[in-house]
Amino acid sequence: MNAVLRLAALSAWSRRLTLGLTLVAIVLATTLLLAVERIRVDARQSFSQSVSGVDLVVGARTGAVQLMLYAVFHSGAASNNIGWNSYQAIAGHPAVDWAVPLSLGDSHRGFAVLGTRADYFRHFRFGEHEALRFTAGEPFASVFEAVVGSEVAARLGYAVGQEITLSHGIGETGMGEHGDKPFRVVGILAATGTPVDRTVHVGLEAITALHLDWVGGMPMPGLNIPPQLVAKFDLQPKEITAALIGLKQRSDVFRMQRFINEFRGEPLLAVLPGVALDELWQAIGTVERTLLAISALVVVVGLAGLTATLLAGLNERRRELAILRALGAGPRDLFLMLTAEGLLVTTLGALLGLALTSLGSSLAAPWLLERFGVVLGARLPGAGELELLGLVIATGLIASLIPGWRAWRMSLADGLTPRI
Amino acid sequence: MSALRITDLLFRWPRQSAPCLDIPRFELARGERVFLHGPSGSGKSTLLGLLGGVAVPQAGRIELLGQDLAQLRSHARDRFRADHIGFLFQQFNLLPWLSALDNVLLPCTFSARRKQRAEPDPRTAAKRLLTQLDLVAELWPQPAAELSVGQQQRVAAARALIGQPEFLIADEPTSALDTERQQIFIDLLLRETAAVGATLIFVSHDRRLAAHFDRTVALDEINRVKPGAVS
Amino acid sequence: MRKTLLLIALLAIPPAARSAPAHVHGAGHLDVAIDKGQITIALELPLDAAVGFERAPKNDKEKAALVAADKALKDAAALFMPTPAANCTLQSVKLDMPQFAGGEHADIDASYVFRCAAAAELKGIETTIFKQFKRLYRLETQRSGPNGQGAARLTPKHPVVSW
Repeated sequence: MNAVLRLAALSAWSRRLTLGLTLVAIVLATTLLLAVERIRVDARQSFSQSVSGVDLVVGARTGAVQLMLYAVFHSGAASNNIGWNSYQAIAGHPAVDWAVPLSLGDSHRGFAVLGTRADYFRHFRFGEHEALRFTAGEPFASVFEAVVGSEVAARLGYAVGQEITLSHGIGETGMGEHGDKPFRVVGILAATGTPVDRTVHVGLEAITALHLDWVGGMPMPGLNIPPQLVAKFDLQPKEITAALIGLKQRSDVFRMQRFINEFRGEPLLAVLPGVALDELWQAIGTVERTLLAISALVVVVGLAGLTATLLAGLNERRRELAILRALGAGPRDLFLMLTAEGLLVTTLGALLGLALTSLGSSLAAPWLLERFGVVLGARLPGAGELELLGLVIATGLIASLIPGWRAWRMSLADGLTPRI
Repeated sequence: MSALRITDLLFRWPRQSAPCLDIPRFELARGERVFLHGPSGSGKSTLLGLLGGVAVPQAGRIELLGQDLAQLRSHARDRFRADHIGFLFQQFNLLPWLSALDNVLLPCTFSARRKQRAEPDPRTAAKRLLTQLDLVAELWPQPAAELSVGQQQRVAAARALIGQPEFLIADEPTSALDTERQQIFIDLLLRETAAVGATLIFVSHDRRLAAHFDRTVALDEINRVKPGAVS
Repeated sequence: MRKTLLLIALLAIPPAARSAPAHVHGAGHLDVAIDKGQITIALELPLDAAVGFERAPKNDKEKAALVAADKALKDAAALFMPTPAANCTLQSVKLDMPQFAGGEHADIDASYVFRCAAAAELKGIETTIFKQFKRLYRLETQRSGPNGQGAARLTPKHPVVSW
């Protein structure tokens, strides 16, 4: 039997060009399948790790997922702001333990700027209820101070003391510079694997101060309020983008949600972040399943190609099988030989596909992180991937049984004299 | 004890009503070198398949080296074939992607007995056989596909002979060679067969070759089914 | 892709999905909060799903249907079954049947509180509500508990909130 397997390998090697092409198809199909699965799992993972310990996210009335996307992932744009009075009414509700206002809309060299309060660093949780940590410096204490996330610091080479300027609007260039009011970096946060890493945090008052001499999204001509005079103005914001709410008792969450959704002052929306994410998954679940199904079909096509290649080769190899038969190989040996060949190609293809997926994901990881905020972990294949890999190999085995069976039948019919 | 004894053999291919072989009696002595001839379609290949144990007769006995093949299960028949019979075919005898030397060594990977009987060791035995069969050493590592037909047949002969099988079955091994090379090849084959004391069945439709052999048998003399009766 | 994601979200999720739960016949809402061994359940059902009409009862049969729905919804121990190992007992039931003051729709609001002796064992809550009310075919569920928050859609085939 070992002799047969060794001969199978040598025989396969002699047809390496044909089999190689089949192998490439299987490798690519497996890579596609595994990549879809890996991105699916890692996207979920990184999204659901991004926020924890927040009972409610409050914003202007829009879709639950939209609210989540801009308030937590700083993705997309708020359609409306919420009034400061509304925020204060909610923050003052007896059921509320803490409330942190968020103000978005500015950027710094492509990174989102978040106007908030120093409380944010105390209350924000990610992953398994982990708190934010500073690798250097401390929270901002005065108007023109900023705290940057780990990736901002690493990519732009910032250290505590660095002076930066913010841009109005989102985008690499922004819609205008707040060049007259520079900020000083006073703190750098430890890496979290969440959007926090890609955020510049400043005080809520700083956002107001930046826009004192702006009207309608443009600098007011002829008006320039220098930073040193800013303190003379009332820097209390009139509106904010969203707020994060922590409650004293979790059991109050739905009562509080109802209170906010039925708020009299203005139309507001309160969502449970975990619920909104689940709804997002439900919404894109169909897309994911479709993608997985298409990838699975591609794998089946690849394996069908393998079967076809082996079957086509079999006719040319009738002599070879008869020779092996004369040398003492039984029909079972020939069955084994053909099946082993198919299984070998499939297994090799599946493993190379896994390697390619790992290589590809480590190459694509920075890009995915930057563009989509998805943290693609450099890690061992997950249970789902291994399961898919197992399925690919199992399907490959079934695909290989067909030529194996055919070789068996052929060897019985041909005996020692192949009929060609 | 005879090398081969066939009694009351009856064989019919599946899905065919008429038998293809009906041989009441046929016997070969050990070391005998027999020329078996018959027109194509007379059942020569079928008979060789039966001797090799890849097909089983519906009735009758085939005793090879005293072993009744019907007594063996299919796996054991495969083993028996590997251990005791060397085969030589018309052409395309070799695995094209193996070197000439590795082709010769093949029987030793399938049969422990032949590996053991290839003295002093399979590689040396293979090289000696190739040398005796006039194949120059430069050709040994070449892939079989790159050899000429005559060279291929000599490699095939070496493969059939390695490990001293008691039986050699050759099925039209010279039909792809020209007349001069046929003579040379048959001489080589007979010499080597004699050297190991093996029994040889040489099948051909070309009766001119019969002169070299101890005995000539026409298949239609021993087979009661006449050619033309089967397709 | 970020935009694609947003687009998918926009298409797939009705705006203001949670702000004022839409009144859809056959679909109810269920909120489950678990905190310190206490389960708080809030249920909102269109009256139609429970009794087959959404107005004041017109005859004895309709009155009887309302009484039956009232009785079934108060029997919370039979309606909601937390993981048995968690050893939960019903603490309170609050049921608001519609008053038929006018308007096109009428909702039933109910809330239940369970207390669990072994809260760590709590893995999920099964409901028999779909057996009680055949006209109800789904419950949009939000939950918040020590294992985080989540959404689920309960159906007659899958009448379990789990986490």
